[in-house]
Amino acid sequence: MPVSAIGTGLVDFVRKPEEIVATLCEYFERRGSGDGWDKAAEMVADHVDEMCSALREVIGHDFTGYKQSTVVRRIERRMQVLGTKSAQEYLQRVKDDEDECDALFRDLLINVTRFFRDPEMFDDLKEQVIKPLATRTSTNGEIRIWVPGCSSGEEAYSIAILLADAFRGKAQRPLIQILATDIDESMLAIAREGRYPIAALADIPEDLRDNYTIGRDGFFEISPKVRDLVRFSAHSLVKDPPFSKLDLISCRNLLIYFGDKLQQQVFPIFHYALKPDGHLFLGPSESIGRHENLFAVAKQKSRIFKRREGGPVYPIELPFTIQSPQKKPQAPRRFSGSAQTSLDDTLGYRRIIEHYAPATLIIDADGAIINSNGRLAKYFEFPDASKRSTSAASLARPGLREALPQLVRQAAQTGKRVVARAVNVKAEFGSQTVDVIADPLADDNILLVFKDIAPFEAGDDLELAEMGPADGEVERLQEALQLTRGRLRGTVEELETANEELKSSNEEMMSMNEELQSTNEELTTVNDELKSKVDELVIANSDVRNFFESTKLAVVVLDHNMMVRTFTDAATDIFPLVRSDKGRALANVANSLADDSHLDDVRKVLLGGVAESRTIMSKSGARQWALNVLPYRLPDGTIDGATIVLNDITDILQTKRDLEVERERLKMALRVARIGVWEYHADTGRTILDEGELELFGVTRDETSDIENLMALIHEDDRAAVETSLRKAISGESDYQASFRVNRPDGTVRHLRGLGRLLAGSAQKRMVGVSFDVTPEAKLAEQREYMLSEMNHRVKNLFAVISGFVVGAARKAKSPSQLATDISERIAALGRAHSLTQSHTEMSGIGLADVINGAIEPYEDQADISLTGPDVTLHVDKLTPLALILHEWATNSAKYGAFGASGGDVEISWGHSPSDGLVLTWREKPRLPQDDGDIEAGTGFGSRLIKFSTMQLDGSVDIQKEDGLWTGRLAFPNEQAG
Amino acid sequence: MKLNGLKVFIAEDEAAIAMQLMDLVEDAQGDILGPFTTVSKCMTGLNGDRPDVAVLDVRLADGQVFPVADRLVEMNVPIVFHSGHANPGEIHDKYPLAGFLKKPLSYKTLTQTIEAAING
Repeated sequence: MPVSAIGTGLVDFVRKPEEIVATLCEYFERRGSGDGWDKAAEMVADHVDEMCSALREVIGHDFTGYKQSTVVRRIERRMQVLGTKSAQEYLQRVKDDEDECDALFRDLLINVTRFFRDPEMFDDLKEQVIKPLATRTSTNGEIRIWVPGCSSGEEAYSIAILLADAFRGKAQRPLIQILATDIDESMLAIAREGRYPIAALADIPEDLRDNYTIGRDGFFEISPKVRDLVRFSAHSLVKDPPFSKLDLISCRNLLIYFGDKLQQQVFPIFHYALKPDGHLFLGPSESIGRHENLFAVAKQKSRIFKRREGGPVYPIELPFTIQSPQKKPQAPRRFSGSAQTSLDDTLGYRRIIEHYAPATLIIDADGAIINSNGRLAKYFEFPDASKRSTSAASLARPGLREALPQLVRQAAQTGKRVVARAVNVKAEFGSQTVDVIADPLADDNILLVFKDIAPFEAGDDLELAEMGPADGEVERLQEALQLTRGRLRGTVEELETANEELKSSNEEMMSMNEELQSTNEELTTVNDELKSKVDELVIANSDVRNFFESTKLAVVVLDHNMMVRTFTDAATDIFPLVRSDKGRALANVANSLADDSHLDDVRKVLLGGVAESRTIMSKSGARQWALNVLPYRLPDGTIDGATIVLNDITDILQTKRDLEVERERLKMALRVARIGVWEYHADTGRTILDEGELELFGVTRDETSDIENLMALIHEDDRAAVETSLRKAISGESDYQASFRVNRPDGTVRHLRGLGRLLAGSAQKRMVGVSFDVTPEAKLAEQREYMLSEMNHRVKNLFAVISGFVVGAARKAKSPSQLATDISERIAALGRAHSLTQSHTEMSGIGLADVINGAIEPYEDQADISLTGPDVTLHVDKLTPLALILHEWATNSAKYGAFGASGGDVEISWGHSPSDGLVLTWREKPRLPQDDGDIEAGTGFGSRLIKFSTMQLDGSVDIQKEDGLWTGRLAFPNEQAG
Repeated sequence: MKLNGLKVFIAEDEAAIAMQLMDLVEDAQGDILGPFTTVSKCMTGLNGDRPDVAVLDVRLADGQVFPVADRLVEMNVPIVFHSGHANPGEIHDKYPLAGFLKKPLSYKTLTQTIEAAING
């Protein structure tokens, strides 16, 4: 509220809360000291003129016509506000300080106004003036209203609202122009804005608020349809030419500030400005005063007046003449400032003049009638009102007519009262003798007094007034004067007409000005909008350009005729386009594509609107692109062209192919290596096996989707280890590693090894891994184990054997050295035999020939030896016994036979016999008889060894001796090993 | 120690070892039944005289000796296993009362083990 109050310009002091009390005290102290102020007031009155002239110089407005009392009062107020006690001081201040001049000016202008001020008067206005006006004006017509002194516009808007309401619901209405004027620019600015505090809304009748105001937060606006009816412009009623052809002038509470003289001037102006049936609407304290001849009362209590017929009574004082500051104001200075006491005075005077005083006439220096009082019919002839000439002399009746000019001239020249005695005035029915007194008045006018000095003489029927021969010169001059006067009048009238026209033009110009201002405002708004639109456009354009330049995609945009609209740099690799190609048909542009099928795609898209997408090749086939054709849609959805996007996918495709190759390679590698790949989802127990893995387990996909199924296939002894390792891997302790056997459906057992790892970062616990067949290795390991065990066993056995014949040989040994020889030779024989086992596995067995060779090796050079027989392999278990037997035979031969010093022949042969198995025959000669009975009897260690070894072989031995030929036959079963 | 005419059933397929065993048993004045080189020969051999103790080579020419061992257990004949295997534990589990001889032999261990077996 304080802000709006300050905004009205009516606030004198704006103070902070803490300063308010001090300011008030100051003010009242000043006010209280009465003496000083009375004197000051007197002084102000003396200086009013000067202050007004100072104001006029600075501000340009003349307040001398305003009511003295008001002006003085306002000046006093300013002085009180400032604390200036002396009028001189204040005058000086006004002259020096522009701001104070401005403040005083504003104070003088104060015109508190409200919407629908004096609501009953507005009601009457509505009924008496507005409604009839609305009814009788045709839609082609115009309604023009002037509101002078409109201040902040409430009055003008009130009338506008009433008018708008009168035409509410009507489809058409005539042109309505409400011209609202004021000299206070700041008030006009407020008025133009059309915004008022919410509090002011209360003044507007309820039923009108909704339609003609727009409520906002804390204030309201006049709705545009009402606002558009009003034009605010700066205009001084005092200085500027008025508008014309008005239906209504609403000038309320302005004239109360004008002095009499100014008011005198204003009413004729209003009378001129209104149309013949126009109305005048004044404020409650105002009246038309002495201008009843100009205005008739339509509704006194509402101050509504109607223009009377007739042109102006007298020439209008052209308002732009600046009044001379020297002129003293006519009205006496009054401090109390009340207005209407003179009314009583004039009534009395009027009566005297009309009834008791002699008839008088006031003429101006040119002899034109200004005023008349009393009965002048005897002296003047007044034709009908409209054609009335204003020249006294021309209206004078004969007798007076001649005397008058000289009389008037003399009075004007000397400035003294002149009397023309005994002038005989010839009236219509007689003559009257008068004394005519011409009394010059202060303002250059002359008062003519007519005193009848003799009674009226009824005359003869005088039709014609005889003009005496009198002064011919005088007559001629009089005629000339009349002519001149007439011409002057004509000129004046022409001038008046011109003036009227000028006023009209002026008023139109002002309206135009107002309209131009509005237009200007609109243009500014539009301009601002355009500016921001342009800015947006510039940014959008820049964005698009940057996007186009930055993209590596080849894009070509076509219009609906398949002409090139725009394209990116990257597109020039495929279509060699240049800037000037814009607008050219794409079909005409050479390109490096294999064919023109892309054009078909564009056509399809233009018709169907569905994006096309496929791969196309370059002419050379070296490159491939992903072609995308998209419809180019306008904001309303219609297709206005197509966008071609080409994406070089050659490299991608190549990479894809390479990837395929790699994948195939990997697949093959896996297949060859017989590696299976698997996935295990720990949360769900789900397993996913690839083909390799399925093959390893020897199952189909369906059977193995769950870990349980898979575990069932694993050998029961190995399950625990597998589960443990899986668990460890899932918990993240270690990777999965396990070796296990799988029982395959075909009954075979396969050794598999599995490796796996938990996938990092997966929310669900997913393990991936591989398995591979290690059956051969496992088998190998098994074999090795077995072999080692075998070797172990065999070695132990050999020790046992050796220990055996150490003990055995010791029993029958003849001497320690012989014992040693026996034993060492046997051990050597065993060694030789068993060296054969190094290069054979259990499976393949040992060649019989090799065993025999091993046994006879020490004696090779002693005799002629022949070996005959097929390839025979022996089981390794038979090696020891056979070797021992052959060793004995060889040793005996060395002692007694061919292997001895004398040499001989040894024939060793072997073969298979169906009944006896393998039969080995040793034929030797010569063989000397042995004198060692042990051999024969078989009780020597050697013999025993042979016996038991034969038993070990599950075979039999037969010895034949005959003429120095020794034959040994050993037979034992032998399934061919391997 | 003396075996005093105890009948010792020998199952052994290696000639030299059999001979050594036999010599040792003879030296200890025991009687020899065998040597039997195969399981089948053993089984046949058991149909004869009831032995007082058996010395069995675990690995015979035609397989492991355990069927013979089982038979001997049935017959309540104490057994001494004689083996190059390094696995006396397993055999002990099956035949807790049996003695065990490792190869190669020595006179002392043989007699002691046989005695132990006989005496339970």
